[in-house]
Amino acid sequence: MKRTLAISFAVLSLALAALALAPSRAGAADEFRWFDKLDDGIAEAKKTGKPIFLCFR
Amino acid sequence: MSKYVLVRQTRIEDIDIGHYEFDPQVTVYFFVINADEQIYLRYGGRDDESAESYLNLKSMEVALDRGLEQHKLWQEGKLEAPKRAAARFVKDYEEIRDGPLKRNNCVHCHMIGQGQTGDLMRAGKLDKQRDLWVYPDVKRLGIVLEAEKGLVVKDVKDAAKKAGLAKKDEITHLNGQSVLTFGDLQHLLNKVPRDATELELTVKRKDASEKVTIALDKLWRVTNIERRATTQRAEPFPEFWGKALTDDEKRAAGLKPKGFALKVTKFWVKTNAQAAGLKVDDIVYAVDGVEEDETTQSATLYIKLTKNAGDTIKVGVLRGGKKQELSFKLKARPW
Repeated sequence: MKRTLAISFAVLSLALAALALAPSRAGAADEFRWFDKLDDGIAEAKKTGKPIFLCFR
Repeated sequence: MSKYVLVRQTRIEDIDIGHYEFDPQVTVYFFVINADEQIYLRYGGRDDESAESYLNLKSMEVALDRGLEQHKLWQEGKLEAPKRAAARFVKDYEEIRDGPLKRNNCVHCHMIGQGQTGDLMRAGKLDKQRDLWVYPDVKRLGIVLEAEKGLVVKDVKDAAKKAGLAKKDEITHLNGQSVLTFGDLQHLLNKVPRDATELELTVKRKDASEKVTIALDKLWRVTNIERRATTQRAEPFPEFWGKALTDDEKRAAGLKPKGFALKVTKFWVKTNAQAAGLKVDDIVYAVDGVEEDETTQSATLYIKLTKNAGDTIKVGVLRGGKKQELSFKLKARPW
């Protein structure tokens, strides 16, 4: 009985851990901030000193 | 990517395409610039075989690293800013201004090509030989690049081989101007005058810098331009649509290996060629008695390049193994 409970607890913990991780994984693709307008990107580049990756799509 | 400010420009209306000049007929194109809008490099470009011949993650990584190196030089005051090209916007093209912009629709990149050709035609200034052979392919010069390494030469043939270009050379300049990516190279190659007889490449060879002068023949700009909007917008409309026969199909039909051979596929609208008797599955193999041309094996492109709206042409047609001629007048546009 104790063994079954321990296994159930472990499975439940794993499931909860997976659930907790799920939103952060979904957000991984959005970890970069994209600007939709070149002027906004230029303002950010002036602030941060970074170069600009300007993609036309 | 975290070392960059990332901008995905989804509307082109506000972009100065005089400064951000690029091949509008590609899948992906990006620039690496600084806050002063100084362009460090371009990434993109294609060949006739595929839209993705030069696009891959490794070459993109190389480009991004080079962008950071250029930025460092700029921050250290070691990079000169070139003169900015004259400003140009999509609204400057009458065809775009009175078309998609008036209807408040999106302007697609390829429309830039249509706008260029449309405006030149309207002004009576379109020189088809000069204006339609755009964005030449380095392979035509005999340069095969190792696509994943950017500008490292994988193989050399023809004019490039004769000039002394060697495998593993890395191209660094074209006619004295720095190139960091394939996009840069194709962009500058497009600016080489049509009637130029040679171009100079500077290459890195075993840590030394060498110059190589490549002779240009009169066909050096020739690529398959039929897929381009610049060409499609050009008049006249050939009055039929077709698919090129393969070499085997040409042989089986008894046609010249490098000659025209276009199988009529469909009539999307009623055309003068259809009215003259041209049918789906007919093979068009000649235009006004000409069966082959050094610039194209496409009868429809040949018509576009050499004829005008209002001209009456005769096409040679192969139907059921029998040759016949059909004559029809060319309109400016299909509709």
